[in-house]
Amino acid sequence: MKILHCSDIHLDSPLAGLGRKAKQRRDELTASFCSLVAYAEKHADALVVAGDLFDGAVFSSATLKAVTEAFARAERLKIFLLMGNHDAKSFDAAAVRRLPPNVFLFDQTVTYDLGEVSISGFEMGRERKIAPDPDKFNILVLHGDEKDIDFGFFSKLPIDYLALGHYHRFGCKKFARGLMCYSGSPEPRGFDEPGETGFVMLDTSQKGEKMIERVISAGRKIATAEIDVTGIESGAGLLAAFEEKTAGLPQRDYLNLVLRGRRNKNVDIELLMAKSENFFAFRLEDNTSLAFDKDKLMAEQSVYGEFIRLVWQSGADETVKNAAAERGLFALGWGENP
Amino acid sequence: MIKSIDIVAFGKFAGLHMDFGPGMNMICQENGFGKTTLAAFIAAMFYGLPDTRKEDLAANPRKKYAPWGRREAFGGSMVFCYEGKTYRVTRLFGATAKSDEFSLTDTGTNKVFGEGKENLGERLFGLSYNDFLNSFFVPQEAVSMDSTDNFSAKLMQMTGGEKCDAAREKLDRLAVEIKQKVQRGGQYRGRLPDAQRRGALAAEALDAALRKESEILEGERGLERAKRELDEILKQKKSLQAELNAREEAKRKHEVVKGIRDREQTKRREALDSLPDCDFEAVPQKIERAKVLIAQSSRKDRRPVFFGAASAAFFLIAVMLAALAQFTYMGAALAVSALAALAAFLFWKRYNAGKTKLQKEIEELLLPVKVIDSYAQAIAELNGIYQKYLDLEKPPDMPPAVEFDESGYGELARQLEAAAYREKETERFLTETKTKIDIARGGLPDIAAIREEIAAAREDAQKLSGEYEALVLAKECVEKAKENLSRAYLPRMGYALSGHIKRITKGKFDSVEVRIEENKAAKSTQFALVPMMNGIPRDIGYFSKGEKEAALFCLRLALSELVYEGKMPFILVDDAFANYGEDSFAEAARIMRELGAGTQIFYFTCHERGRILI
Repeated sequence: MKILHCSDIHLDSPLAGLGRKAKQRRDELTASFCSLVAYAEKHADALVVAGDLFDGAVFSSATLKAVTEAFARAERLKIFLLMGNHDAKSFDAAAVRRLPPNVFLFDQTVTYDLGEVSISGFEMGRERKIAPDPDKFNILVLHGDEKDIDFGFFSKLPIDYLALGHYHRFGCKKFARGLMCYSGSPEPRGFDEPGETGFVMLDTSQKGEKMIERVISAGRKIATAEIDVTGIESGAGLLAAFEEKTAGLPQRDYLNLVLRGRRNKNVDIELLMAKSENFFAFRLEDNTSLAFDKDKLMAEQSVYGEFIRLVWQSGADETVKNAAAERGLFALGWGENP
Repeated sequence: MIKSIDIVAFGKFAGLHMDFGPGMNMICQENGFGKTTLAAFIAAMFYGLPDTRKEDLAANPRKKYAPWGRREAFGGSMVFCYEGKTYRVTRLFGATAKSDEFSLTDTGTNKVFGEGKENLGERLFGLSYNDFLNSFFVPQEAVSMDSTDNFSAKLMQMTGGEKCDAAREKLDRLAVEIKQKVQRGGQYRGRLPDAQRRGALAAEALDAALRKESEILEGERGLERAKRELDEILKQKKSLQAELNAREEAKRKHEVVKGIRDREQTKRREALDSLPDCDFEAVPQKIERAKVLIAQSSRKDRRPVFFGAASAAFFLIAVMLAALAQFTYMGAALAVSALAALAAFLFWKRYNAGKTKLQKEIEELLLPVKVIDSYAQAIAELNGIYQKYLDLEKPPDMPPAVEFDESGYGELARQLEAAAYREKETERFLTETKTKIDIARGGLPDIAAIREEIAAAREDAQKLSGEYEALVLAKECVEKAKENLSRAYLPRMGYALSGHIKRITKGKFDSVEVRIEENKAAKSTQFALVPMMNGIPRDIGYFSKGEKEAALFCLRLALSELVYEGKMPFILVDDAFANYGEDSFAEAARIMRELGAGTQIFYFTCHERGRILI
């Protein structure tokens, strides 16, 4: 039997940092999930969503309609939905309760018998007892981490595959008499989810690691590029460094641009914002510090030295001090020809 | 000490060589010679040229001093002494700092030092580029005053206070852009309050949307409840209707059966009524009795016949006897015949009476049937009637009675009516609620988008808040730096100044105090020189222009001494005393000569008198 395992889709979640593209991306995530269901219908016998299909009690009617219709179209596919920590309230909504008959929840029934395979599941915080038949291929669906799940207890049961949700990154290791996997999110939502994303195809006829195949499915990826600005003395130099670091990156992806090092005060990093249109979404992380030697300046008898000494004597935190030093030195005309 | 400079190309200079000696080096040149350029060259030899890439020449010395039209590198070399050794530093400047060339050679050993081009000056003097410039080069404008100049401003400029004031204004402007200090219309303006307000408005919108969403969800739950309720009502209605139908059927059956039974009862009653009055229960016995009596009555009594026959016989005998004239015997025979006749008569009467009685009794027994033809007929008839009676007495072959309780029927009908009413109301509620939910959902804003707006506003506010905090801190530190520097320098500057001023003004003033005063109108501090005459503070107006300039020069020297911590290696003075009166100039020149004893001075002037005096 082939089973598609996914989780943490978070439909209709707010997507910070995307500005006016957030709505487009949310629609893409919904469409992507519907495509995943269609894929499962063609290539699998069952679909397991290990929690957080929705993001909360708030979701649009259009999203619910799209999902419901996708489920209904895949009428021969058995779909098992587990509630996660985010979508507990979603499942409270009457609309969700009206999902098509090929969708099975774990609110009342804990174990579904599919012949040689059984699928059990229960939500976080609920104490449910399961008694898997050791002669079957037993799948257990849970959502949470070690704070929520007693892995030690479940590892003693005849579980062949523990389908997990909660973490947005893929992870897999041996567990009980088979494997446990966090499928990860099928699509990244924000800049804090770099790397490849997708879902897991489980083949119950296989053993060990051969039973799973990770499928990378994301329509867009989060790429990270780092630029060390130390030694860059002009805006042109900065732009050239940007072109070099981002050459070959697909424009349909997100770009998280991290700047490090000592920044020359004449280099305006805001120039890079003009490049934001080259990518679907763009974030600039400024981890640079102004190219001044604090210790050297503090030894000066000049107004700059006195200023820096006073800044570092203040009780402010380091970030504020650095920013204050930068602003103040710039305002004092430090480095300019007197 | 700087021994010589060789300028390959720098600013307006090309191929210039100048030798210098210890102490005073006077360069008497016309205005426009390039004193500032020379000072910049000396500083560039020690510190290089910054690569700012700015268009403004004042902020881009590389651009400023690059000879116009020259494609090759520009610069030169300088020979200087340091701690007993002589070095040659050579720098050639390209378009960018990366293309600069540098070498430092010990002219005694020819050892070349390739490293440290950026910080040669720092290593030699312990000063940054700025400190060096501020202390080594005394431009004319720093120590001259025209009618519009403010003494305090000059001192400010000298001690960096002017920079601080300018910086404070810049920082203040930037801070005010982020958040104004004063509320207008009851609220603060600026990018930070705007971001906060945007966030607050979005949060309100979110609250409203969530409330609406919550109402929608509640509405949907109500809808579900109502649907379940409707199902229950329909079930109940079906059940009631079924019960009512069953009742009605029962009623119908009851009535049908009742009708049948009533009709049967009526028929039976009529049949019974049609039967003659009779104690039907006793009929069998009566018939049996009648039969017995009929049997009795049918029994003939032979005695009348016997006695009659006997009577007849004896009569015959009597006749015979009479014939025989046996009259006695005839009389006896007649008597016997009479007796027998009598007996026969009596028996026959008795028999008839008995028979009549029997008949009467039989007829009574057979009542209500009248004996018409025969007893048998009457008995048969009576039997027939009795059989009829028996048949009528038998439980008739009719359907069993169907019970029907009329009493619950009305209640049932009422319940059904109530259920139908509730069904209608519930359906109306469902329709209305569904419409309201559809409208509400249609009007619901994009909550995810509002959340994104809140997150963006919060991020902006956080960034701006951090920026504001940094600007406020920078401003405070700039103000404090100005104050500290002023306070740090003032007493020493005042002390140094007092000595010089006393000499320059030939004892006119005892001393001069340099104070910091608060300018409330400008919201800043300013310097004030307070000359003391006979121990009494006087107004600065007592200073002539030349005396003010002399004071400035002395203050500038004092500042340089402070920066160099007393070990000033050299100083470049740009025609400081151009406007001094003769006496003041002479005194100033003397100060310069005294200064030259311990310090190398490059004194630029375009006036001959300076050369003579110095």
